[in-house]
Amino acid sequence: MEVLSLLYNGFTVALTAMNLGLALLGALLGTLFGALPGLGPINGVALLLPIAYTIGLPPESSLILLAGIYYGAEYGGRISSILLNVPGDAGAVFTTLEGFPLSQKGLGGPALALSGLSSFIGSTLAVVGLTFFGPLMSKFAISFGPPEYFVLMVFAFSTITVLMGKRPVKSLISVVIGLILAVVGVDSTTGVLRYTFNEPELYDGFEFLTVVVGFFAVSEVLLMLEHYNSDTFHLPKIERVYISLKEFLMCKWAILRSAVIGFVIGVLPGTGASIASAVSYTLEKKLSDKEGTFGNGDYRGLAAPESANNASAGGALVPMLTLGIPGSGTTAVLLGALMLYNINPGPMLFTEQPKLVWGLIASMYIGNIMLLVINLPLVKVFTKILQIPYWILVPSVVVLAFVGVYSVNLSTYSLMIAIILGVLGYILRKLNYSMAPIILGFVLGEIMEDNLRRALSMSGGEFGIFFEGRINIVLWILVAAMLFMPIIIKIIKKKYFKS
Amino acid sequence: MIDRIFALFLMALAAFIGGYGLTFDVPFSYDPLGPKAFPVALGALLFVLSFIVFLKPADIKAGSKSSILRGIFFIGILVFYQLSFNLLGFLVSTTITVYFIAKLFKGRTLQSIITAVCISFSVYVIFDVILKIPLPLGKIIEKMVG
Amino acid sequence: MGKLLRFILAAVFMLSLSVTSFAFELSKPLCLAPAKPGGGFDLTCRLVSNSLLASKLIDKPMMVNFMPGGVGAVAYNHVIGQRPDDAEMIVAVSTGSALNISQGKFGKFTEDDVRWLAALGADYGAIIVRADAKWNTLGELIEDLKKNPKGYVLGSGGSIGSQDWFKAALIAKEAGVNPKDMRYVAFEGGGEALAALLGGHIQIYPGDIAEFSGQYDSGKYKVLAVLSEERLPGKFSNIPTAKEQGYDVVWTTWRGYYMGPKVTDEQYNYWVDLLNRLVKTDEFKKEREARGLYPFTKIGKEFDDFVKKDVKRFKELAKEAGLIK
Repeated sequence: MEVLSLLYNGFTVALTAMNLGLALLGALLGTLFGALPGLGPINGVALLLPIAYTIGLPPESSLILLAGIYYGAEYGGRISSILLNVPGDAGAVFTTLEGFPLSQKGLGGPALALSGLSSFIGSTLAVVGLTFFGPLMSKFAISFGPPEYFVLMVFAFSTITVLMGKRPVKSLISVVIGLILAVVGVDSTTGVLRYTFNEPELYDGFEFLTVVVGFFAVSEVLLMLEHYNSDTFHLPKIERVYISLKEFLMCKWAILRSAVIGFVIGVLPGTGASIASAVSYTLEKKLSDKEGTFGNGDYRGLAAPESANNASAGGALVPMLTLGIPGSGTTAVLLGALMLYNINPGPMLFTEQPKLVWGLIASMYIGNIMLLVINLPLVKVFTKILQIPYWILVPSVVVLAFVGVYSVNLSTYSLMIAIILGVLGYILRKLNYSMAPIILGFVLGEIMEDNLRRALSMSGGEFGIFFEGRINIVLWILVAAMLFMPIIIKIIKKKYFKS
Repeated sequence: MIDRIFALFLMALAAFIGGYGLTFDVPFSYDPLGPKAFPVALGALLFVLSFIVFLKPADIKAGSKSSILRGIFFIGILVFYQLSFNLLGFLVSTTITVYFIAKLFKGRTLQSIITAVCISFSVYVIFDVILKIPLPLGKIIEKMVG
Repeated sequence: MGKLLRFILAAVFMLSLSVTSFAFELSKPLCLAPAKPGGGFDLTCRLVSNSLLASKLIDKPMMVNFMPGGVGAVAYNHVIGQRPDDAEMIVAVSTGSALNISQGKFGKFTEDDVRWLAALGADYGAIIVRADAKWNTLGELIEDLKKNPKGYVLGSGGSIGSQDWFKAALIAKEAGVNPKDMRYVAFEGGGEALAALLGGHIQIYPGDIAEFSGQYDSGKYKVLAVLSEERLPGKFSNIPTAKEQGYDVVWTTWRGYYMGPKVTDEQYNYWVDLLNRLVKTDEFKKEREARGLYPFTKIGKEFDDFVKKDVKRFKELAKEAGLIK
């Protein structure tokens, strides 16, 4: 098997002392970022990215660290969700539904243990999926030319619009804002300056980190100022931190089903942990909730979203590594990391950068085992993090974010932009516009416009090129299915409630 | 109401983006679409979408007066931070900034001072000394040293 | 305390005076790469900084700083505006920068606003197609283009007006095709263009030969011609030049350095002398080869004349292609 020998080579990269250390560091920091209320994987990756980059880590090491933070945060996110009913990010919301009732019943410890195990299984299955599905996908991806990429973007944005947020119009507005932000700078085809207002600092467009720090870190603090009332949270007591085999076996199908769902949803461009956990929880409720225990602390209802959101993190790496299209907000940040290193993810990545790709995949196997070990016995230590007072936490985050933005260009100009975007982000979030579509729009904007124009250069201006070939036809059918999905769901719901 | 006002703002922004986009001219037309089509289309799309929100806004209430004031204060601190970063240097400007943010999150005066000094020094040491990412010393200090 | 400080300041002042009265010496040499780390400008800076230290021509390591923005425009404006007399600093530059200057993309400044120091290496253009393409010589390709100018898509890693585009335009010109009529697709970097070539989305990729070197061994592509004056040494020696196939198309992607406009002659000559000694060392030759560059050495006045001539030539080409009025 070619894949296995490639994976073996990956392990030789991942098992060097530095990369092992970085995977562990990433796992620990990720758990930390995930556990801190209000800080999710995106913030964690965004904070560490400039540091990893400026100290000159080689790309594979940097990616191992950042990916460690990514899936580590998916583990850590459950701690505050279960114990405090405070989800760290949108993906953790469904963990609170069963997790918090469990911890109120005094079962916080077993809940943490079970969610740790589910996360591990979901994550590991997704990495297995990535190992075998990734190379296949990358071979297939060669047949994606400019027209296919453009239609794929249309599909990604219709997915985001339909599935994210409460009001599709607002999700779409978020996407468009992201796309507009991406237009700023030198036009890569003609060299024309767009929306730069004669400011050389804007010639390269908005720096990715500036946008992320503004929309996430700054606006997050503004939101915290509203909800914040006391120094620390009051933690419920935790007694035993393990789960019995019987309780675990009860959840095995929930975990496996959700892992598959999570992986598949993760692979779809644009969707991420939040949708994966929502779908898996809803499905599990439909399938298993015969006694009406869901909502009052059901282990299966906890295991399902935890398995799914970790699996989606692995799935989201498939389109990112093979097509250069991030499957989620956080992979969008990882993609930004690769671009900082002048590595363009795409069909060639698996063949051109085997060290990077397979090193990353191998390190994910190792990282998940590390996380399981960290999370089962040490979970009590992490609960202590929740007791860090805000007057230490918030200023630390602000300073690290600002230094990160500053260090990319050694200029304070981008700090001002981050502040302005932070205020804008705060208003948008207050008005129920979601942030993830903005980041996706921002990252995908250039890909979308460039491929639109490339396709039209190829065809000499004929729009028919977007409807030629099997891939395009399939993609358009998927777009139509996605757009009609809310209507279909409505019809099914009507029937379901009638019977 | 706020939703509607912001939708109006987005419509104005969209009009500006579309209008400004029309001025992106190139002396030659090598690619069929050119640099202006995409941004102009985005401007138009944003205009239509925010008009829909304008017609059917959601009922969202503004934050309390005190939380808005605190938010403005926080932004004020950040703006001070940005402006003083090069002038006063990282250490001084960070210490002051952290102090005020800590106070904003109800740290006691002494706690805030200690936090401010610890964060600014440790971040400076980690970045500038260990990681060799240069942080500004400050124009004023530089002048004193020569 | 106040006295002590004043004394120290006075001492520092005296010291700085005494330093300037001596002949020019490097104390904190710096190479500014006007891009993000990892790209061609980074490589250009590493070439000089690594080999200077390895050959012991300088005793302190030469720092490499980055200033991305506007394909070098931000750095160009910065050097002229903010640090015109910084004699410790050299800035990486390439054919691409000269092209941008010729098209007025560096703002109000022109090629006369900096001091051109040296070029230390070069890569050469190459016409690359898929291994199973029907063409085996450049001539066959050009004949086909003549017959059907819109039937084939050229694509590469640069925007219209970039080096890759010019290579494509020069080939089109040889086929009697107006560059405006050729189908050209601009990708983000050579890697993407190669993927598109492999996927059949484009048919012709005008790239650079050394940059392509890693892919050459995969056997998935063939090179119809290199755009150098003479055959290249080493593993590409069996690839014919465009010239010997009867087409006068040469494209040199040189890599060099410039300095601020207010650097004195003494300081400028110090660098000229330093680099003249550097290029003779084995350490430099090794470093140049490791960076995938071919010998291309022009130092001091020779380089200054060369750049100005190049910019002039590019201006004519750009005018001809309708890129500038």
